Amino acid sequence: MQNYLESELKTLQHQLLKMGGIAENMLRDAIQSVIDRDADLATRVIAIDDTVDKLENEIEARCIQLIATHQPVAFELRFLTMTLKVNRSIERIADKCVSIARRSLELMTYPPLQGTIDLQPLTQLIQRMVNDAFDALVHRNAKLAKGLRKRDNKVDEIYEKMMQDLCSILTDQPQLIQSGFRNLLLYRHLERIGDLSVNIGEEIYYLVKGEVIRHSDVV
Amino acid sequence: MQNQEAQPILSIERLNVWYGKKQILKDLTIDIYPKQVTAFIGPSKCGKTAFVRCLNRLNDLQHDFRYEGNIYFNGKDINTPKTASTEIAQKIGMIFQKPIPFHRSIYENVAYSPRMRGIKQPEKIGHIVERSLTSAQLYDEVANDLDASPKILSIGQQQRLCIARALAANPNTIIFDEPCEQLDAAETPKLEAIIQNLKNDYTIIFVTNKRRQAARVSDVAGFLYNGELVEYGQTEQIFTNPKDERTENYVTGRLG
Repeated sequence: MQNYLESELKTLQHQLLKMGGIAENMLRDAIQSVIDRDADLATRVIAIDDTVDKLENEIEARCIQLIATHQPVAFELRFLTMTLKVNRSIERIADKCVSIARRSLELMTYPPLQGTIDLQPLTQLIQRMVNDAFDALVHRNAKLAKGLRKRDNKVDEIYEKMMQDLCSILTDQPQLIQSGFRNLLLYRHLERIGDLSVNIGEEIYYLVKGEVIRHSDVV
Repeated sequence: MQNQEAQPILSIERLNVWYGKKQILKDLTIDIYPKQVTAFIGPSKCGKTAFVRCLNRLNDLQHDFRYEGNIYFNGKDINTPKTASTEIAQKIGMIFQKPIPFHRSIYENVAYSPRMRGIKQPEKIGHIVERSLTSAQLYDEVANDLDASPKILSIGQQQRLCIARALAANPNTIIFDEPCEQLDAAETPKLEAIIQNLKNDYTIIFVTNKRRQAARVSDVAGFLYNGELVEYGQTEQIFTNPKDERTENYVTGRLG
């Protein structure tokens, strides 16, 4: 028979995944708004952030209440600490999506960069990483969770290359500095989302294995 | 198991215990290290009390008790005829669920053991009594009533008197067998604080069926289930990341 705490943890996971789903949609739409120069889509992304903030508060309050009233141990304790941290990471991913949407709106006021830098390799990788982080939670998949750390190296590599390409473009066309600068911020937001998906993976690894891999070397 | 550099004070090797035909403990092998709190947790009838009673030979009094295996205390086999059970009882003190003070004054309860050891000088005895009552955090409460009967004391104070009496015997290990069972909510934290202080000077073995208490008080914990030592490890590990599913079920309250 399932006890009260177990059913509460299931509800929490459901809420966490709901919030994760919203953040994933925000990421998809924010990227699309950049590609399509779609102001409506960017505005919708910014507007939806309130929902994520509310969910974050609700999940955190519930975790604290359950810790206070049930004094959980073992898996239940790991689950609640994981939830508190992943909750925060998802909220920060949503914030980054808002930042992307803002950059998107700003970029619409400038002509597109000539000698365009392809966003797709980075955005595709980031979106897959975020998706896999949540999959790892659903399936308690420690390997998938831990693997995100290695995949983040690829993100850093692409990010580095994009910065170099941008530098070359701006060297040739210094008049594009305004939009160039916003593009740079955009890449940075995406790169940070990669880091946050790694953080989520580390917490899920702790949930499943009970072992802290944060700040340890990526093997 | 922590204190890696220290030698175990108690080494138990393949201990099997029967009461009559019923096997109570199954093939227990465990080392207990000095100056830390080692808790044994598990549901009732899992063998916790039977186990600790083996450590100071209290089972000798049980007529249908039978055992196999070895228990070494400071490297010495406690179950050989050469080892007197009184010697073991003096070195390994025991605090029971229910405090049982002797029918004599508070002072004489504590003075009993030093007198038995042949200490005669009243000053020396007085010093031991005061020091023991202080370590049991009782002295301030009874300083003016040392000649009174322990009956004037609350159950919690009586339990602390029993701790003082055990300390006066000059043991190096103290077993607490569910010592808070009879205590009220205010006395329990006091006893837990005493245990925390005592571990600086003594090896503490702590039996409890209160999971959270074991988590609060102990450094190392063993989970016993159906007479089997299922898991033994750092308390933090047992309560955050138990390796065995049965331990997980017990610490989370699904079992026992």
